[in-house]
Amino acid sequence: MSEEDVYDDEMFRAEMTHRDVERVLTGEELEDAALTRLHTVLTELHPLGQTSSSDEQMASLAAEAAALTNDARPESRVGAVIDDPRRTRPLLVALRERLAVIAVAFFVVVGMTGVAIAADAAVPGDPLYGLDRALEVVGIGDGGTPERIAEARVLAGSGKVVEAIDHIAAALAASSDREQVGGFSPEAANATAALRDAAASVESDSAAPESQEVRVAVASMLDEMAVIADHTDFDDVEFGRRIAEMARAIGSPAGGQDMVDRPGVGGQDNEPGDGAGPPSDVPGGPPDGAGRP
Amino acid sequence: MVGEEVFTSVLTAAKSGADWAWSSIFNQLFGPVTGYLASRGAVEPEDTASEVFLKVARSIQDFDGDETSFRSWVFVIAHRTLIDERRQRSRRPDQVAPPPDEASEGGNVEEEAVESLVTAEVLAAFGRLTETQRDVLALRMVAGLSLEQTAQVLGKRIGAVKALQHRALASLKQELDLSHVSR
Repeated sequence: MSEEDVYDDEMFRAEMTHRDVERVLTGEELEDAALTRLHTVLTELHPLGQTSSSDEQMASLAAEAAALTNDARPESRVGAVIDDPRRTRPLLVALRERLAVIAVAFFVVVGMTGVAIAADAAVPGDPLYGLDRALEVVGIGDGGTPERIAEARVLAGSGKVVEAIDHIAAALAASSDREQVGGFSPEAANATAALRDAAASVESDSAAPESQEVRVAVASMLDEMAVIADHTDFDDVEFGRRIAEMARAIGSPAGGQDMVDRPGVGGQDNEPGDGAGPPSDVPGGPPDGAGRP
Repeated sequence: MVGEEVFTSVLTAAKSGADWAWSSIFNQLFGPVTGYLASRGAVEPEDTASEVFLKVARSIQDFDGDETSFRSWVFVIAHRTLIDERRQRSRRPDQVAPPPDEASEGGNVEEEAVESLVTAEVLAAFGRLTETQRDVLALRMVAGLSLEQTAQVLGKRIGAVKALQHRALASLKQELDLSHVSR
């Protein structure tokens, strides 16, 4: 049964059309007494949206926002001053750019192609990993989703299961930072949270990182991610949803056995007929295209 | 709503860091954002709203769109910030959210935040809805967003939001009818 079928069925049973629902919510063209009462009840929520703050507080916030905006402008990013932890993003951008410039200079002057190649194969914890990431910033060496998954697979293969999960979560979070709210899907945000929960769950159980079931589950997740990543990216809705499902299975008491036995399990608290959004008890995020109409 | 021409000027000025433009944005949106956060259980709605607008300020250079899109975009950030706050709260042992049975009775945190403005009857009925249904109603009734904007904020299809708000209203209608019968 499709989402629309479920909806139509519910409308029939409830004897309230979508038009009725909109009338109740907007208060327009209401004639039915029960619907009018429902609208009256809902209007009690209106004053919440008219919460006001003092003029001083508003002025102070406006000044702070204006200052932050100036800091975030592209021309003022390099040379930012470390004086406010909330301004770390522009600062990190500047530092990353500087690091990249230094890395490029190092690469050109010394001509160490071999180092770049070695760096490209580095994984977190390796001495050359920082150089690998810096070179990626300026387009030297592989980068992006497939690279991060490949690194996680190396980590998982060497028994660093928690680090592997954390690495994917960090890559997703970095993708979120990069996209800000302009294109990062809520499913990807869910996946980040689910991965972090899974890592925490595995880490909290001293036997879990050594468990064959957990290792198999993590390896399966990474294998599947590698296949999907060949033709999509972290901000893809279906990809994010699938990662979240697999991560939840890993973090479950069964230690990943759920995922191995029943691929596709997930979506703990979704509404019936709601095929698009994240479960209501896990973090959401901006939809694709928000802010880019 | 201030009109597209005015909004374009405000947005341009806000991007260049003009205080007056930010004041204009706050006048339009600080109340609805704070109200939305309060209705959805933020412990310190005004503080969280301030955090939301500082995030808006840091990201506004990347925004490109009309007034309707801007409003949706701000609420996307508010929704995400709220979810982050809930997650952080749930991980702090000293600030654990109310037990599930209490939350299902009406949501104590939300009740404290809004009880001065909303009657107990509505609060109780609202509290018996699912989290997602409450999200939808709060975005529609408190934030004043359209169906399309609500879908955008929650990252759902319009059909899914229609179904959610329909179920929410059907539940409320039933709740309130039952209240009358019991009196």
